[in-house]
Parts: sequence; structure tokens; C-alpha cells
Amino acid sequence: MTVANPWWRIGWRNLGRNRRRTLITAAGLAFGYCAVVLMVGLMDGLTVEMVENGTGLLTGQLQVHATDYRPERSLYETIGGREGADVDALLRTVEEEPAIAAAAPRVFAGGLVSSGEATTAAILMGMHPQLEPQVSRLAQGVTRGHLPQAGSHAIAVGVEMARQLAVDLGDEVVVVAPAADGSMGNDLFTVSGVFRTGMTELDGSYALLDLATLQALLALDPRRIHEIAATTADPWLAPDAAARLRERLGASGSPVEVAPWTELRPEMQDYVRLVGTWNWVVLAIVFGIAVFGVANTMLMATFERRREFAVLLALGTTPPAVMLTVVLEALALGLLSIIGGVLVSFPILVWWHNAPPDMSWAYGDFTMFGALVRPVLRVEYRPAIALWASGALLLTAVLAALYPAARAARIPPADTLSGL
Amino acid sequence: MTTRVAVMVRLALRNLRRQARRTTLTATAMIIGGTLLMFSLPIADGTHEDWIESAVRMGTGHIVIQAPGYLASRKIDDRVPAGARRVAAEALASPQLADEILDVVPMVSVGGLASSPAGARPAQIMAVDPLAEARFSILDDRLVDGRYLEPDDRLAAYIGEGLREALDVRVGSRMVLTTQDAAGEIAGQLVRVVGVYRTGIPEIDQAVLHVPLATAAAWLGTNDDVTTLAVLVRSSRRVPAVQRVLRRSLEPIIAAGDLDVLTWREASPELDAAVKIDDFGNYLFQGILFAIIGLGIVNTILMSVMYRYREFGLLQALGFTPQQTGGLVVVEGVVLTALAGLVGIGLGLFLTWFFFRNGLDFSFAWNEEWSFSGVVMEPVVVPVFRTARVIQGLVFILLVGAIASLYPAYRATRIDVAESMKFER
Amino acid sequence: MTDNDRVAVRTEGVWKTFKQEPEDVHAVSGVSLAIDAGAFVAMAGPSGSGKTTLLNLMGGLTRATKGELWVAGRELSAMSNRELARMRLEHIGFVFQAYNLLPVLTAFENAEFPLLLQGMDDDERRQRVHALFKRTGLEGLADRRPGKLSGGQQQRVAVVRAVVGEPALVLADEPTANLDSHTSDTLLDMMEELNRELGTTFVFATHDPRVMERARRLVRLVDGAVASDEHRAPTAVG
Repeated sequence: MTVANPWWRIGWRNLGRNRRRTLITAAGLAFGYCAVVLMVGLMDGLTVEMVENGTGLLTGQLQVHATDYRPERSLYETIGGREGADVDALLRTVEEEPAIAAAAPRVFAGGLVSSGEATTAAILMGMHPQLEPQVSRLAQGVTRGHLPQAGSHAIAVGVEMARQLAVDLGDEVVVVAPAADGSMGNDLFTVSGVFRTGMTELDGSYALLDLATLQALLALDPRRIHEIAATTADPWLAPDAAARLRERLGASGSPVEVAPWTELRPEMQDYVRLVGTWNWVVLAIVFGIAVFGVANTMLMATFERRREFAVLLALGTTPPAVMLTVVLEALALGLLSIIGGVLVSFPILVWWHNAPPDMSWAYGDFTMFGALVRPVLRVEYRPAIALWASGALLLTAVLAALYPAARAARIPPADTLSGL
Repeated sequence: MTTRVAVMVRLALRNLRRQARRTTLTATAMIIGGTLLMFSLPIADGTHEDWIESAVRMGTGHIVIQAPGYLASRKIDDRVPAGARRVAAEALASPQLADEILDVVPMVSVGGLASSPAGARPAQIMAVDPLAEARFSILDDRLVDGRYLEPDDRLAAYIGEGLREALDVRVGSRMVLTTQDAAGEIAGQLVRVVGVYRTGIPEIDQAVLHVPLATAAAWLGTNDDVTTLAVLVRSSRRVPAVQRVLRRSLEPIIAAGDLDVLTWREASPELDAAVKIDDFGNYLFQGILFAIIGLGIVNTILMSVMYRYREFGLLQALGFTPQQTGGLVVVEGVVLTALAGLVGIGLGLFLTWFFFRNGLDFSFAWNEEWSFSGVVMEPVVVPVFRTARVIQGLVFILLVGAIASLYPAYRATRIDVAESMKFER
Repeated sequence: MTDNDRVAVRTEGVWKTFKQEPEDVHAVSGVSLAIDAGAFVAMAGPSGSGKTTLLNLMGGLTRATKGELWVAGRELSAMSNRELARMRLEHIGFVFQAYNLLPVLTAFENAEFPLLLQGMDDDERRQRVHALFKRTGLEGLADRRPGKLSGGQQQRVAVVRAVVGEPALVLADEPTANLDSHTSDTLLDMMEELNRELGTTFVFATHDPRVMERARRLVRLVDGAVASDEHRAPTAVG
């Protein structure tokens, strides 16, 4: 330490000699740091939004089906085959998995919903009125009225479907659907609720009914359901939770598929991966450009101090030690920039995370992989990103200092000193 | 005046050459920045062009002519009557527009239910003219099984892979389409699957199916009425102009409420949002890069001012005003950025053209399964070069240079002449 | 190696030639000198006579074109740059005309710098610098940076820096050229005292008559060669 000591001191104090230049250079680096942290935060915010909406709206983070249910989603492929399964026991098993926050049973069928004036095709979803809202935001999104209650002949439709059918709360609609026994099930339902998700496809095509009522309409035994959808506290816990559940449900006999959202929506996971790669590209480009600014400053600084380096060399400092002073100076500059960058970026990150600016004046909602993305700039901040950006910044500073440092170390002391 | 500027430029050039290494380093950052700019702008424009093209050819064209209520209702009640359709067709064929328009495709597009013995699914039933549609749409290119519709087809359907799976049908299978007809009654129609396509967009593959327009005319009782006239324009940039001309010539029937003329931006606000947010992201990134480059320029020019304290003092002693001294500094900054920027832009254009003129293949990063606001992201992006973009880039770069020189220039105006001349060496 | 103890620096037919058009320049042409340990020697001559070059050669700052140079019993031309640096650190001190203190370090830090490089432990280092500061009347100035010191003060700090590592040889290139006569005298007093009390060898390159007066041996150089070599007093106790 005694030996390294003077180099740090010299490097640090040299930064103070041309404060304006140091500040401008540090500002460039700090700005690059902020830019990386904020852009990565924005991209992360976007993917989190996409994953949350893509899974939270309806899919859930994890689903249990009969092995052959996907992708045809045939009416007959219920969990446990024709015999069905003990739905309550199945739900209990799923909920016992520690990563799972909630689970809900579902039955699906295609059908027509008709008011007196108009008819529209619909995906009929039978759901449990108490459990479903814990799993999907679709069920929470009932803006008027309420979900169909257990045993009732009620139906909740999306705003778009309600508009197309010209129906409102309390109106009656006819629901027609091909049933499991080959007949056409049809019955009269009362609109008890209208939901809004913001996605026209969902708001126009989904209709929610009570699970038991829809099973009766479709001539399905109460033991027969198509799907159990479950949520996990964090979407990224889903793949492991699914693997554990697969083992446990596999042991209990019936052949089931347990699919996390990463399997149900592989393109979404690919996208998350691409964003991860893209973040590296951003990091590389931003600091790749910043290198030149630092190199220039260090080059000027070393050129101004040719005599001092010559003296160091004359006093018996080895060339590598001279390089070290320059590199340490750059490193000190880097540390200064990191402090500045963190001081500026952290409050912005916290603010943008908690009160994301609404960009709807600039652009509207859009969808990615069928998931709604709202026009708000919410950022995510992960300590890992701050660490990586800091590391990249220091690396930039050191890389930029290498050439000036090498020049400083090669100064011929005799010529330089006798120049005066 | 001009000679004075010439003198300034000459002084600036000599000073830049005097500090060759420093100039080179700063210029290198600028050149890389300019290169990146001229790489990313054409690639982004190419990407957006792909999105628009794909959205336009998968659905309703660059410009869509439909009844005013149809965009919201998607119901057969909101259709363009045969008379209005004829007027619109005439307007489109007018000499003023004929060159701009590649194709006009009529369709009847309604929501309905597709059912087979295996189940029933909501479907977007598009009744199309098989020949016109084959020219216009990309769905026929995405064939995976069977064939596309042919002019003599009657009870035929061309469906997506997703719908095929959901209904468990194959080429040759029969299925029933059910929807509301022109009279408001529920009408069913038996059709036979002749072909299956796959776009990779779940929203489309699971829902959109094509049937011949003639079939729909009889089944739904629409005769020559259509819900949509999809217009394909030569270039997406000509769309606003074409829309303006069309609106003017169709003024009376638009006023009568028979139809409306919308662009893809209005017809697919989601795609519009996607293009805008992507542009926003690119501008943000470039803004950040050039801010960093700008700070580098500030430093270089500032140091150059500090090193030449005496020289600037001398210039003022010789009769330069402080403003002229500052102007010299700005000229130096602008000359540096202009030179580096031009080299960067040239290099960027050349490299992008040389390596990627036939398309930049992103298939290592994504495949055709990727969709974005209902548009497949083509893994191969062909860059689009536009003069306007080059000028935009150049102006941007010069602006960065000028702004970056302001502070150093201000410092140069405040030189104390007496002080600067006092000390030897 | 009794030779080492007696001789601080020895040159044997040393040449230094600079390649130049139209004709190469011989800055030093065949100088052979032996300077005893504890000497107080001035090398004088007009500018261009090669005295600074000879000094740089002795200090290992530049390499001889031909001939041998011995410092502390070791031949310099065979050494690597790293070995030369080590040699300078341990056996040679420099004093320059322009003082050449490191502007970012305080007077004290400048003076202790060679000891830091040598890796001497904190206590011993501080004691040693303190003792020298006291002896040379610099105590009150220890925490000032060079910018806040007068030329004479800076040069005294530079002399302390040169002798602090107890080198075999201190090479001083025109140390008084930037100083007024009074300050020069004080500085020379200090160097003489250090020479007498610590036995440090001083070699000056100078054209300042005051320095020549005080030197106990005066070597006159003309055109890179020794023109006269005059011992004016008995060599200091060795």
C-alpha cells in the first residue's frame, strides 16, 4: 500500500488541476452511465409490462391441462379424461406449491351470443367467481355490474361485445354452443357485468359464465374442467414452480401438462432474452463513444505534463509505474463519474418507477405478442444494471487511459528535461 | 464579409490540423456517431416499412374505404352500398391517382363463428375476390397446405393454422360458418377447407379466414355491397397525399355518410403507436449518443481555446472584436463536426449499402413467430435510404457541433487582452 | 570492491552522437573522468559544450553511443531500462534548473517521493524527511504545494528530494540559473553542508561563476571534450 499510495494521490490531485476539463469529461461519462441505466430501465419496464399484461390478463403465469388439450383446445380433452378429476383436490395440490399465489379452474367453449338485434361469436369461459379474480385481471376488470355468481344464469361480456350486441346490464342474451354429448346447448342468460381490458380482441370475444352453469350447458360432468390457471408472485418463478408441480401431479396418476408462461408464450421469453442482449449493445455503443472523450482528455492531460513524467522517470520511477499514475487518474475520474451518475440517475429511476410519465399524448396503446402495452414510461431498476454500468464505465476509463499512459511512459526524460 | 468567413474557416482548419491527434480523436467519435446514425435510420425506416407493408397486405391496405361506423362495429350493417362503391372506384381510377395506386381490393369482412364437429371458434370472415386478393394479400404466400382460393371456387375457405388446429380440420374437411346476414338474420354456410396458411401472428392464424366474395354475396345477401375497399399505394410516404385527393373527390358521398377514407394510421392505431414508440426509442438513443459526442467536442474546443489564450489575445489586439473571436471558435467547432459528420454519414451510408443493401438478417435474434401490434416482425430487414434522412442527420450533427462550441466561444470572448500579452511563454 | 567506495562515477571514453543532417553532432566526444565519492565537482563550459548531456549520461537518462559508464560500481550500458530506473532510484539524485517538483504534491510529499518508491516504511521515511527539512530550514513549508513556494524554496525542496535516499551521486543541472545571487548562495551553502556532513557526492553542470568558485574540482568542457580538469582543494573526507 505504501508503494501504491502516491500514485492514487497523484492521480486524484491531477484531476483537480483542470477542474473544468475534468468536470466536462466526467459529465460525459456520468451522462453515459445515466443513459445506460435509464434506457435499460425503460426496456426492462417495457418487458415487465408486456409479461405482466400478457400473463396477468388471462393466461396466468402457469397452466395445468390434460396432455392433449393444447393446441386444439378440444371440448373433450378435460383434465383426467372422460372421468374428470377431483377438482378441489387438484386445486389444493397446485396451491400447496409455495411459489403459487392463487389458482382457478376453467372450462372453455366456442359459441354464439345473441341479443335480439345482433349475434356474435364468443369464447365462453366458465370460471369460479371467487377464485378467478385472484388469477386474471380480466375478471377484475368488471367495470360495471359484477361477475356471474355461482349457480346463476348470468353472463359477463366485454365492452366491445356489449356494444356489438347492443346489450347492457340486466338484458337477456341467448347463448348457443355445441355440447359434449353432440347436442346444441342453448339457454337464456342475463348480463350481470361488463368488463374492459383495453384489448379489443378480448373485449369483443370473451364471455364469462359460472363454471357449473357452463358445464351444465355443455353437458360436462362437474368433475370435468379444461384448465387450471395459476399465478406466481413473480413471473420468473413460474418455470421452476411448473417443474415441481409436474413431478407432484405426475406422481398422483393422471397425465397432465403443467406449462409455465415461458412455454405457453415462448416468443415472449425470446423477446425478453433479446432485450437482455440489446442492453449489452446499448452499453457497448454508449461507452464505446465515451471512450474517445476520455482518451482525448487524458491525452491532453498527459501531454501538458510531459515534464512531470520525465521527472518521475528521472527520479527512478519505472515506466509501468508511470502508466499506473495515468490509469489511476482515469480510474479516479471514472469513480467521480459514477458518483455523479448515481446521484442523478437514482432519483429519476425511483421517480419514474413510482410515477411513470404518461406518454399517451405522443402515442397510444400498442400490443406486443398479443399483450397490451400502455403508453407509460415505467422503468424498472435492478442493482445489477447499476453495477454492470459502473463496471463498464470504469473499464471505459481504463481503456481510454491506456494509450495516453503508454505515451507518458515512453517519454524520453533527458530530451524532455533539457528542453528547458 | 465572405472573405472574413473564409479567413475564419482557414484559421479553423489550420488550428485543427495543428492539433492533429486531438482533432482525430474527437472526429473519430463523431464519425462513429454519424456512421451509427446512417446505419440505424435506414434500418429503422426499413423495419417500419416492413411492418406497414405486412399490416397493409394482411388486412386493409394503406388506405381503407369503408362506412363511417364500420371501424368500431365491424358489422355488416355498416357497409358501403354498391352505388357509393362505384363512385369510389371511379375516383380511384382518375388520372390524378392512377399512377399512385397499385391495387384496389373489395372485401366483405365480418365477425362470425366457425364450427366443426370438434368445436366452434370465433372467426374473422373475409370474403374476397380470389384473383385480386392473391395479388394484394400476403396470406396466399403463407400457404402451408392445400392451395389458395381460385376464381371458380364457390363453397371454399382458406383458413389459418391456428383455426385448423382448434377445429381439428384438414384440407378437404367441411366446416360451418355462422354470422349475421344483411337482413339481420343468423345465417349458416357450409364450406370446404381448400388451403391452410400460417403467418405466425396468433391473432390472425386463429381467426382470419378467406372465402370467395361470390359465396358471401349469395350467403349474406350483400350483392355488390362491400364492407371495405382496401387500397394499396405505391409508397407508404404517398399515403397522406392520396388520402387528401380522395377525400376531396369523394366529398359529396362522405358528407352523405356512405363512406369514409382512412389511412392505415387511423385504421390500425396500434401499429401507428408501435412505429411511433420505435422512432421515439431511436431518437432517444441517438440524442444520448450525440450528447456524449457533444461533450467531447466541448472539451476539445475548450482546451484549444485555453491553449491559445495568447493567440486569441493577439487577435483581439490586432482588432478582432470579442464576438469575432467567439465566432472563430464556433467556426472551428462547426468545421470539425461538419468534416467528421460528412465522413461519418458517408461511411454509414456506404457500409449499410455495401453490407446490407439486400437486407440485414436478424434471424439469429428472432424468427417469424414474432409479432408486434399484430404485425409479423420480418427477420430480414432491408434498409430504406432517403435523402431527407441524410439531410436530417447532417443538420443534427451540425447543430451538435454549433451548440457544443458555444461555451468555449463564450470563454474566448472573455479573454483579457492585456493579461494574455503580458507573459512571455 | 574498494573501488566503489572511493569512486562515485567513472566514464571511460564516452561518446554521445546525435544523428543529424547534414552532419552528425558529437555532444560528448571521448570523455574519461573519475569522480571520487564525496566530491563537490563542477563541470563548466559554454552552452553546447556537452555538460548537460554528460550529466544525463551519468544519470542513466540517456545512453552513450560508445564507451563505458560506471556508477556505484556498475556499468550502465548493459542495463535494461528497468534496471536503469532502479539504479536512479537507489543511487542517483537529480536537481534541475527548473526545480521540477511535482505540482500536485506538497513540499514534504515531494521530498519523500523517492523513499516511497523505495518502499521505506512510514515512520522511518517521515523521520528522515523531517530531519532534512529541519536541517535545511524548510520545516514551516512542509505542507505547501510548489506553487506557493518561492524559487529558492522550491529548489531547496528539490535538493532535499535529491539527497533523501542517500544516493551515491547527486547530479545538479544549472541549479542556480533561475535564482538571484543571494538565494543561490544560500542554496550552495546548504549543498556544501550536506556534502560535508552526509558525504553526498555533488556533480554540477553550470556556467554560474558562484558554483565554479565553490567547487573543489572544476572540469571545463569544450565541444564535448574535457579541456581542463582542476583540483582546487583536498577531496572531502571519504
